[in-house]
Amino acid sequence: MKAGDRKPEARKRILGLMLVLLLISASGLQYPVSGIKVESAYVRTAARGMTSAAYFEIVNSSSMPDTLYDAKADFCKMAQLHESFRESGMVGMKQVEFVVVPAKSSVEFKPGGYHVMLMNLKKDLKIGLKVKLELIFRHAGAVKVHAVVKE
Amino acid sequence: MERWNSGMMGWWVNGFSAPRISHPIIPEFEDYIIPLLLLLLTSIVCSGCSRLPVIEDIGKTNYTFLNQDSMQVSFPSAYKGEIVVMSFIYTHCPDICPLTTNNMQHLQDTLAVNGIKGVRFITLTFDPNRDTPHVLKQYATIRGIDFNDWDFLCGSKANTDSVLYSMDVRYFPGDSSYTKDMGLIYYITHTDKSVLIDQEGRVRGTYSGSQLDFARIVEDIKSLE
Repeated sequence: MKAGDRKPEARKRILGLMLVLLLISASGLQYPVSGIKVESAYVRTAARGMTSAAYFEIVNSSSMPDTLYDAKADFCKMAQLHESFRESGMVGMKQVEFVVVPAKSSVEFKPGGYHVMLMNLKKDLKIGLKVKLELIFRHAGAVKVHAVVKE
Repeated sequence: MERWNSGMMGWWVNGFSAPRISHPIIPEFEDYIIPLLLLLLTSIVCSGCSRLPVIEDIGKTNYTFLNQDSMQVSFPSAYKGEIVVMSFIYTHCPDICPLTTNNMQHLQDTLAVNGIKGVRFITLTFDPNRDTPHVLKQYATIRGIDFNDWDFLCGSKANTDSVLYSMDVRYFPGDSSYTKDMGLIYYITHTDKSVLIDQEGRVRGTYSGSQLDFARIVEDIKSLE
């Protein structure tokens, strides 16, 4: 077999590989982005200049844990991950560096527990308003979240 | 034993007209009945009073605060004759304090459903440095709070502390951080408490503000009416 005869065969293989990669990409099997979903997101009503909080449920359907370590929202000056605590009748909150979402599991951010603290709001968050924020995960990267303002 | 049996059976069968067999020292059952009935009556009448003991009497003190419209309010004398539900917050708290405020709004609705009118609400801030009357008004307005029966109060640290301590509400600075433009943001760790004050300025009930037991506080308010 001549060397030139192998070229069409190699081209076919490369084309086949590209087709497979394209199909994988189109099917959404992009580990680990597809493993993280953020559901039931809402933000508490608050006036401009004040502080609010975002709540949601992070569902990790992948077989690998992921870690939420930051949050961004352009309608406030600063967003941080926080956790409220209750001890001997006293309540308070503290910043947390990260929250691990175990594989095939979910973590709820809810009143009295984990929340994204939204500080120095740039506008009034009136009930019914829709806002966007981003949650930054170690593997999934930036996940866009649409949230509605509630009481 | 014979005396008791005969006395009891005599009363049972013939009522108070039964012949009495007297004893020189031990009084008859009939002698007990009127004091016993009086005791029973008194306990029924006073059951409402003793159900909510006085936890703290602040009716003899008086402190000046500003409400959300910067009007001076004397506390508690301005509320004399009214039942008051008082809660404690700071407006920069995003999580627990809004729960408390929310619960107070739901309590208003619950009282209305139960046909209970005239209960006043007070929210006192333990962060008067940031929570000016204007800020308090913004905090309440965006939540649709009606100021007709709800005052948001702020005052000097001395007055605030005096009232808070008399109600056993404690607070101290928690974590703090800076924004990119170096604006200081701080949080407060505090007691999660709301109180029920009667018409004489006496604290009669304490509750978790953020985890309010609605059934209990409604019953307590009813017993003060």
